[in-house]
Amino acid sequence: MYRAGGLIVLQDFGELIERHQAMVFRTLARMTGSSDVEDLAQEVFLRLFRGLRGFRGEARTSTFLYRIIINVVNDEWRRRQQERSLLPLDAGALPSRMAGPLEIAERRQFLSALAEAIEELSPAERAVVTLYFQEERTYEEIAAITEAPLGTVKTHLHRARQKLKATMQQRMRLCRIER
Amino acid sequence: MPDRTLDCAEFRARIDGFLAGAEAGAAFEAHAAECGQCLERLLDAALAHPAEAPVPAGFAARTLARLPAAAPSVLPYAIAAACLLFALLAAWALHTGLLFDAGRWLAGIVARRPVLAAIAAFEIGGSFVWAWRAART
Repeated sequence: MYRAGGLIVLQDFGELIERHQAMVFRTLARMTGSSDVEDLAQEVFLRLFRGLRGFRGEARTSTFLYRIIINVVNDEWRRRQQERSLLPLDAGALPSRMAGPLEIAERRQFLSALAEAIEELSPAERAVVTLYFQEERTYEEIAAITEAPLGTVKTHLHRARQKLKATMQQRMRLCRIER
Repeated sequence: MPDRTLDCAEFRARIDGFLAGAEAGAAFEAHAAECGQCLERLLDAALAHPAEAPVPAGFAARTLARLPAAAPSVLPYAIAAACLLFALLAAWALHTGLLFDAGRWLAGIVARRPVLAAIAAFEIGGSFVWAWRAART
């Protein structure tokens, strides 16, 4: 489909990028908590390009892309962890962003706090939450994308929701106490 | 108890508006802080709300421009070549009878050093799995 005589047709690949770029950007944004994800999005499509040999057709494009996105985000997460571990000890003593009270009167503040709370989830929980809610994938599809058993997917989703609720509730109550 | 200027039904009716940008107000905030079920509803709705990440203009063109440097990996070819070489060696060893000698030699090692043989088998198997996964992605 994207190959002609063993060569990838760049025009077709360009169309593939156009078709999936919005999904790639919003999924990366939700999973990283940042809207500046162009570099990561490029990495996703470069990996897709390299992996086209194992590509089995249009029906699996989104599954294949979601899997690559998760791998790219996990690599980025590990890179950030390494960077944090290289910070001087004083920097590590900075208070957590999660400690602050939260006013949700404004949508932007609320979504920003939610993004921070999502960042505190494990990579697997973050992926499942994003795929289930934002991308509206079924449990079965998420299991196929993450190559995890169905029960594990449900467990990750349940834990993630509980953690998000606890974090947000705690921050909102802190805000009310401070007033 | 939550500040009951808003009940659960009223709160839930305002969720979509809030996520669309409408001012929430103190009563909305107070209810969300105290009512766990309504907070869950709000979070579920917010999570379903697409993250804001507009695609920058020219993204596809910039990505395509990077593709030549990302030519398909030679790894699958290397694996195929290694498998072919292995098959040729095996055929040659079978033809010359060396394979049977090697088999007896391996059987002797397994009998004398079972733990070492198990570790070696695990390592070889692991290498094949790693190569297979690397070739897939």
